[in-house]
Amino acid sequence: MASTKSKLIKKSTRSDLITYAMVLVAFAVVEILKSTGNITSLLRGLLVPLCMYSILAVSLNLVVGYLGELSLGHAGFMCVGAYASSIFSVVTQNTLTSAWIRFPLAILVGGLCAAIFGVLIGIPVLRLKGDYLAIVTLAFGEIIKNILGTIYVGYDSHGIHASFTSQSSLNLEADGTVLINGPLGITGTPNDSTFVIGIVLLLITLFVILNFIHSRAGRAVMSLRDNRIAAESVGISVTKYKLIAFSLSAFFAGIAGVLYSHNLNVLAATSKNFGYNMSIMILVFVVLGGIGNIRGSIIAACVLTALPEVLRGLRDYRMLIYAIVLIVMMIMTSSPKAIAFWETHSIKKLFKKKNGKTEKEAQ
Amino acid sequence: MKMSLKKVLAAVLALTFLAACFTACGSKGTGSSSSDGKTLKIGSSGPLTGDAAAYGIAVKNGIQLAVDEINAAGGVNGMKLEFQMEDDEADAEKSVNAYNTLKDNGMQVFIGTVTTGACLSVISQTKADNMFQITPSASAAKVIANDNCFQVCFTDPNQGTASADYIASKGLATKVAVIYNSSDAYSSGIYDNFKAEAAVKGLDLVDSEAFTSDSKQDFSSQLSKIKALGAELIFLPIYYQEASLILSQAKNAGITAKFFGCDGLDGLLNIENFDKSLAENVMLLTPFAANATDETTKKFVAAYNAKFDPSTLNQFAADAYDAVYIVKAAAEKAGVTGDMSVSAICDALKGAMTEITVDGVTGSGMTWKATGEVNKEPKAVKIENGEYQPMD
Repeated sequence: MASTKSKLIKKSTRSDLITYAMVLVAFAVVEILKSTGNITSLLRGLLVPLCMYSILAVSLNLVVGYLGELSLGHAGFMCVGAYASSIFSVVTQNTLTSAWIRFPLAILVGGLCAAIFGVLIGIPVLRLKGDYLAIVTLAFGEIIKNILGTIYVGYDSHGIHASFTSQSSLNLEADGTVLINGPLGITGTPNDSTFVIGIVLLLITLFVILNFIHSRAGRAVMSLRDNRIAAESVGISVTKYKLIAFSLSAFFAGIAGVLYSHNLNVLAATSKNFGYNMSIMILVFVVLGGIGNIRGSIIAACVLTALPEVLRGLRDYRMLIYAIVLIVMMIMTSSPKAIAFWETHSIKKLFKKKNGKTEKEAQ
Repeated sequence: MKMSLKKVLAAVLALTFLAACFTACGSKGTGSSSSDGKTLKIGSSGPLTGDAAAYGIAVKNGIQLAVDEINAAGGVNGMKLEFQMEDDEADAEKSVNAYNTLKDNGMQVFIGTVTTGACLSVISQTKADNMFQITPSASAAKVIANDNCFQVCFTDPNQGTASADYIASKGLATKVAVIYNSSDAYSSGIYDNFKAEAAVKGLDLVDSEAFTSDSKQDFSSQLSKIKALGAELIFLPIYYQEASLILSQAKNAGITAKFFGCDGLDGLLNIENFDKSLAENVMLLTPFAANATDETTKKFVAAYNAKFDPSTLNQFAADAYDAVYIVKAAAEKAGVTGDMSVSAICDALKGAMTEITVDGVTGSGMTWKATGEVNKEPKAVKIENGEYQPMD
């Protein structure tokens, strides 16, 4: 059965289908639990963040795994998407009362703004390689967070006012509205993010990124990763393909930011949510899930996001255990000895040995 | 056809965690609804890890102390209090998770959160659940936007206004300068209102210097500018860590101006390796001074120090301690029983809050408006000989 199927469907396509199926099964399981009332408030509250972190991990995997460049500014793009979409939603809240029209537009606004920043930052940054690129993206992420964390923006009949010092120095008219209130950020973003929208966005992200990887452009991107000189010699434009992958990744990070900002009542750029810690957290998802392994990114993002919450019963030892589990998981999945051990003790291999003959005959 | 073993392992791990997650769901989901009416479950969330952990731990200890005292004295309306604290890392996203965990464990009254940013993201959840919320220390004005949420501490606008009023009415200075943290909600909130009130009261605001959380080590340029402008008083609506640096750098720069701060400066004297003589004559508005001589404070400080590490005692612990007694007073007034639904408890407490008067360690004769704002006298203290001395 298995071998005949593999002839009909390409191996990569089958792997993609498993990934989609995994997301859909998870969705179905949660929906069943929801309808039977067997779901805790904690898990219910975690559903949108799980989708959001999965999207972030998948989009960063495009840059780290397929473009082969280390980007440490992913949270910065998320921040841009979150702020742009929040401003859009707050401003249009009274004119576009239907969330079904407003939220998709907010998602597009957030994604496109992040993609524009991706291009703007990508043009100078992608001339660098390796460690240099990592450090510069880190700096860009911090700059975005710091600017959005201190700026005051408001509007009145005279137009838009902005200031870096205080709300009172905006000099707004009496009827003016403050959009971004400095470190207090944006409050009153409508809570439009739902689990269904999160899952749909995750599926769209997967569909676009997986198809991009298997496309001509995707192969060009991977050839740059594997051997830049050889790729250039056959006429592949380095800047163009790097920029495409980088801005596509930024676009989806922006969409994750939209999910974030429309899930919480308050949006403020702190070092906790959009700082380099978050960028590194997303990178941890990617590395633990397997660099270049999209399905692994989703699993790692979900496990590592849910883990500290599931461990709440351990009280003060929670974060300690979390760190230990993280180290153990890294060793178990990535150390050469562990991999060798798993290869010799694989269930799949035992299964294969039994069917070894038939498979050979089939070939 | 060879499948990577990393994938197999990852899948196994994922399944394990999912299983753990879902089994936890089942057991907790059924446990939450059973309330026998003999207990009232109080929940709180705050940062127990990370930079702001000192605040969360103080609140945890303060609530625990009050809960133990009340239980020993027979409880509230014959009910024992049960207390659970969850870590929210002072983060907007984590605080929602902490709140949901508490809800899963059957919380009926929420005393939280400790920090403002986290609180702003939880208020929409408590509003949706109609859960009674009283925050010991989240001070932004927007925290009490909903009618189910009350504050023990002053709001930021009140602190700014009260500071300007105090400086003007006591004639402490006419030429005033401000150093504030423009990337911090607390600090910029106080500054905005201080500036507005200073103009009303005729104070001459000669200079306002801002810094951000990413550059809070060197204040020499701000200080030299303030010195040149001849300010008689420097207002510091900031936290004590930065204030300690400003004080020592101001001494080196030869600045003789007076210093005035808000409750964020509380903790100045507990900094390790800090020369306490630098803090001499610093004035601050704080609701709580550990060496105040009134009976309530003395009793609280003695009990706290006997039970917990005395170095963790600060105004956050005092606010949290008061919060429990406020809930007790309101619950007794409204006749709340533990078998009432969360929403019914909230409605009952909400009504009672505007009718009660509580004498606590952070102020006597505290009353509340329906908006959730507390009404109490701000206390000013001056640091003399390394100790707080009440000012009149």
